[in-house]
Amino acid sequence: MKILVVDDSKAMRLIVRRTLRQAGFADEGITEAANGAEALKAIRASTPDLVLSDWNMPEMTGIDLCTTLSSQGPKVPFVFVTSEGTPEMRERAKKAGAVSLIVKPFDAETFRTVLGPIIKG
Amino acid sequence: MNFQEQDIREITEAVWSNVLSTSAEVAETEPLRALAGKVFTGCVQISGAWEGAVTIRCSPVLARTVAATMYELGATEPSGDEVRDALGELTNMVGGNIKALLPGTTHLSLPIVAEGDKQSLRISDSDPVCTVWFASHGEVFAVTVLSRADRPSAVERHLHNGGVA
Repeated sequence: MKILVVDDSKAMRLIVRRTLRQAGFADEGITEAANGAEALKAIRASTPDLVLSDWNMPEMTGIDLCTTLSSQGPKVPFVFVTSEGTPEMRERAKKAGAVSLIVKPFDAETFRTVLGPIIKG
Repeated sequence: MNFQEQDIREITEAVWSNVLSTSAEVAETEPLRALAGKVFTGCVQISGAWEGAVTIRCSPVLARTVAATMYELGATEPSGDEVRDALGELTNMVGGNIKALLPGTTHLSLPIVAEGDKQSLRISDSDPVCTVWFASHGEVFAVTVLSRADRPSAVERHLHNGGVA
């Protein structure tokens, strides 16, 4: 399972990785990117099975990354992990092609509940 | 405790509990002198239907402690970049969750972190509308919501109406 974690905060990338481990997902296939532009390069080099992305980032935001991926294919399951979870943002995320949106702060149980069905595919 | 203070309290407690695995307890009285000397301030600005900012102010000791926890550094001292990143992300989480309570369409800025004395960081044209003091790791910190001086009506209408838009 290849998971790409996208967040401009290195601390948050570490916390997402730690929470993935706590939720029972193996750490070996997890890679990181610091913004949407870095993520796009990484995805073009090696398509992950899942993208976990922050929304608000410099250079390229998460919503721009999600929209770009949806328009270009191949389809990669995309989940936002963001501090903002308004109905409006959930709707924008859905329209952009995201599977789900997890609000920070989160816990391992939330990751299991939201990501489990996606990863099992 | 009014609506606004309770929301700040619940959001901050949830962030501290989930991210740092520790408690943030509301300080009984405003410890005005507790942040004497150098202070770290994390700030996110909110624009749109609601104009303002959310800040977290804390001592260098607490800033280093939360960074060491988030980076899992143990006894190793965090770098300046790690301290700024950690406090910025905590501010982003608290600010993002406060933003979610506000009416209308708003935009959250990327976080910034400043160091200086307690009066050194001023948010242009903004005034504090609520500050809640917390205690954590034997230190105190403050979460403050500020509103734009020229746009007070939106936030005041919302907060004074018990959060009903």
